[in-house]
Amino acid sequence: MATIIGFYLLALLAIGAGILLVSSRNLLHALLGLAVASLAVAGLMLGLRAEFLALVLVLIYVGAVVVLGVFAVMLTGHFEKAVLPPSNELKILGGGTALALLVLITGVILIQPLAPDAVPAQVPIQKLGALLMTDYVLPFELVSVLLLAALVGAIVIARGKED
Amino acid sequence: MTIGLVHYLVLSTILFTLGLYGVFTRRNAVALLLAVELIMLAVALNFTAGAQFWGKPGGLIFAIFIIAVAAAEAAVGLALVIAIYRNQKDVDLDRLTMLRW
Repeated sequence: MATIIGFYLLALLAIGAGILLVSSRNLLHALLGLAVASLAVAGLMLGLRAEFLALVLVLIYVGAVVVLGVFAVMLTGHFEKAVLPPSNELKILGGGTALALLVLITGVILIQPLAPDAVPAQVPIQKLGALLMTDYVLPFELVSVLLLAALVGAIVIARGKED
Repeated sequence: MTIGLVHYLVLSTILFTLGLYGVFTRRNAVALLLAVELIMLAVALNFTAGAQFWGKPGGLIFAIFIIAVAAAEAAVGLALVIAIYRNQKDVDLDRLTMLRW
């Protein structure tokens, strides 16, 4: 019973924070929405017994992405200035497309009988590490190259010309 | 009634389409990148739920990869936004027309 109530509370929190994220005209409120949505999803991952992923999510999303976002808001002068609202045409077209996709995917999920053959159980972190070094070693190395490229690229792009 | 895989899949679909709505309607580059982050968050939740309910840890590995890609995308995207702001004093996407004529 407690898990059901917890799931619905966290789900409502995530959806509410997501609505704040996509609709707020103040970018700091949108950033707060991202932080709260990340924390709610981390809580849901705890409910799924994926403790390591929940910790990684809090570390990267709340610790890194939101802080980067605050810097971007600060450096582009949006602390006081509110962003422009979308035009009504854009709201109707974008909202309609997103809603149609939501109905389509939800319909497919509900029609298709999904028979999970396992209850969520904690995967030992040793097993995750072993998988990263055996079966998934190629994507792991590719991600390391991607992160290096992103690191160098972000510095070069943001630094600008030297005077 | 218990919380099953379907609940998590529907929730991540809702979060994904919310992020998609943000990508469609936002006119500010920073706000658009934040909406992309919400999409990545929904995908990570989807992978985790699938991995845990089907008992296949490979999904967890891919959730970690998605979080890493989201961090890389945020770093490069926000660096680009700052570089554009330095040149144009504005990050309104409707007025970013320097690459078209």
